[in-house]
Amino acid sequence: MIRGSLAMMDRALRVDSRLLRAHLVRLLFVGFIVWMLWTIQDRSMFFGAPGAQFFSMMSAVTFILITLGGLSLFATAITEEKEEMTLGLLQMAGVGPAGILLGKGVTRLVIALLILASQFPFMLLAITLGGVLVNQVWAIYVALAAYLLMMSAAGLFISVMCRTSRQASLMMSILILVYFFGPYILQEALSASVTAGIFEVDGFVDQSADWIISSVKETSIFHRLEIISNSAFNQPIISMQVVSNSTMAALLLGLSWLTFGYFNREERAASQERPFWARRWGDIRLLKVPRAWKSALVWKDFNFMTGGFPLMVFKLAFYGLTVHAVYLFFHFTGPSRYANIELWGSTAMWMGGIFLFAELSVYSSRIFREEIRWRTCPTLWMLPQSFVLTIYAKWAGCLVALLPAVILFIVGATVYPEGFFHFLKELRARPWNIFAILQFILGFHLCALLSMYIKYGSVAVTVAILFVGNMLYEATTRTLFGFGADKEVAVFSILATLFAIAGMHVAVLRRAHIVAAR
Amino acid sequence: MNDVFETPPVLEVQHLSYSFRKHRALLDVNFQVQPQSLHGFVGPNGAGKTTTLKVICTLLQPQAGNVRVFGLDVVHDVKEVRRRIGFMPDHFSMYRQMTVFEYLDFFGAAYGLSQVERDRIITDVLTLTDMDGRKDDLINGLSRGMQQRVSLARVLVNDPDLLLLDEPASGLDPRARIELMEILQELRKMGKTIFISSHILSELAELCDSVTIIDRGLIKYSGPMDDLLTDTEEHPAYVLTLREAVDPDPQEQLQALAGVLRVEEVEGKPAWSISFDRAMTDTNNLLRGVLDLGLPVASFTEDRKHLNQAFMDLTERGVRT
Repeated sequence: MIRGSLAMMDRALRVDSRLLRAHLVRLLFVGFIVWMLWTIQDRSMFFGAPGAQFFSMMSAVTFILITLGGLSLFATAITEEKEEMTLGLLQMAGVGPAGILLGKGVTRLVIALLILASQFPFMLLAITLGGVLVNQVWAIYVALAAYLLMMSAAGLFISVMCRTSRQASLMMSILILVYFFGPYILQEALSASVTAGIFEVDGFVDQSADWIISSVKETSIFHRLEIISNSAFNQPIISMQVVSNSTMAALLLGLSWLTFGYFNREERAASQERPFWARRWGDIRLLKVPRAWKSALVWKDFNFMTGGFPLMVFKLAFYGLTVHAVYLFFHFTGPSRYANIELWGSTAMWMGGIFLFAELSVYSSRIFREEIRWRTCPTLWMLPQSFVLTIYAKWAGCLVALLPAVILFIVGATVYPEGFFHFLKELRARPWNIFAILQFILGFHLCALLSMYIKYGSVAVTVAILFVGNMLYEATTRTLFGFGADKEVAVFSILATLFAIAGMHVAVLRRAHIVAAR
Repeated sequence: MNDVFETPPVLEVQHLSYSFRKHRALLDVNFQVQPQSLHGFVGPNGAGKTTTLKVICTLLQPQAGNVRVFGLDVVHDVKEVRRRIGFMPDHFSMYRQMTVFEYLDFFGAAYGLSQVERDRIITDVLTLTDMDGRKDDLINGLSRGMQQRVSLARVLVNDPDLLLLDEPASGLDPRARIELMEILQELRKMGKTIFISSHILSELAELCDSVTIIDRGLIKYSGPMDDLLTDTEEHPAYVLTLREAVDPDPQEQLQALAGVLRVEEVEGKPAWSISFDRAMTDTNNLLRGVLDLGLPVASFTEDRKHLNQAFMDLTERGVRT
């Protein structure tokens, strides 16, 4: 087992050390830290304790990068072997489940820890800048390391369970959302139930649920980061969060090892997936795919990538129900108990926006990746029409599928027009809102571009790049423009983003053309 | 044959060069393909076959020289060229989640055909490729040979005049290969020009009228298939197979025939490879001589090893660096 794991680790680390891209990422990360240090030092004349600000900012960035790493780096560790059909070969070479888990997981963990290690010396400078004690720096790194361990083990477990990287990333996203927001939602629901008289105040259910929720919160890195960032922090470095996250990591790793054989009994080649409603179940097929439209490419991507009309109907029902459930949650946990159409309308609008964002992220990451993966680019690019039209037709197929989310938004705006007009007014009054929307558009472009370079995790990498990039941008513009020129900075930022979108648009088209000729 | 050669070529490649950074893929490549011919494009792995095909089918732009398809320039008349050709890549480039009919219907629509036209053409191409019974099957569930037929059917959907097939027989079992070649013969009879690449010359020998041999980005031979053997092999060889072993061994008698240079026994069966000098005799005379010996002849066929030898003589040994 050890021999196999070491061989895999050795190979992965050698590959990583030879990859210029990996060194560039580390260099960029260190460059980012140095740049942030410089801007914060520059702005230190305007506010006190710049070290504390740098400290909170860096811990937030590290936390987000670890979370995104869990989604992309760790959740695909085993699934990528399954998709390449190499898992069986590894097992035939005498590498057992434990060897594969350690070989694949530990290597990625080491790479992630290297990034943490590279920023540690800079973090100590926060103490010199003022507002942070050495105890806090140690506490934050121990907390983040424990969180990293848990995320890597959770990612590995999900990677063992799932067949494809896409499924694994989706499951991991759901798990993370439940882990972070579950206790808060549960707490709100519980207090609403107690207020409604369903449960007795301070009764057994109320007390037990309270205890469970507060214990779960204790284990959350969110909560821990909050405590450590407090200037009055004076707690031991090893906390409940550290112990629980490390224990959970060990348990998940053990579970991955125990269930490895069960979930990976048979190796099946990954294949292009037909929409579930058009599949044949014995002699039965639910529905037929309609005949190809005149706009054949729109037809193809709409039916075979986004799921077509039946999935659209399903999405409309699902989105509607979700909006209603969220509305009921707010309704019962909020101050007013009367039916409130305005609340429903605003919920429908912002949730419509979220669904729109989520769907567009998925389509951006898949629109080119699927063609590259299944090597279908040459036949598609060979159609007797301009290459750019081919790309836009593909996008049109995806945009049609956004209709349920758009309908939800329109319904929300119709039942609560004041809310919609307020939204428009806000857009006009605060140019930063326009900037935020443009950032999303830039993100979709970046995601589509990245998906032509990397096999997995283009959404996570896009989020990381945009997050870090925006932090850097914000710090730089504040330094260059000063603090009194908010409107000018906003207008400049909008123009810069528009310019970046145009550049990215051309880059996507160029890359797609290159990929097709390969 | 001469009439055909007087018509303008379907495909004309002139001084074509292409490099991938420092790696030279093609250097001053010149050849022509005549209408309604089956032209083989042969070369070892990495010779530049796929790069040439990609330039012809407009996926890559020539860095030097020019390529004309039906007199149209592949750089300036991209859409028209694409409309008149059908390209089948060297890998299975398919939407396997579709059924055979959906796949062909999609490409038919993409080429701007009406639903009625599509119905007619799909029926025709499925009949031609013998896939009409499988039109509702998922492509994913088909064997490799059948997927290749569907791929060929897709190429035919827009009724192209020139078919560009990049190693269509690779990875197919012997039966599927033979069936594929039969379909290609059928297509040629229908008036299509077929440009087919392969790294095995003997595979194309019986099928093609003309051939271009490429090695390390350079054209080594381009012309009629028959001339290839004549030009490169002055001492052809034929295999004589007898119905049964005879006593005494006929090797000495065969060696004594006029023009015969060498006779080698084929191991394991009553057969001999006879190589002769074209300057002294020809195939007919040799066969007559063999029959005069009164041997129980089962077959007298060209020795395919010599075709491979011709290929080996033209191309360089070793791996391209």
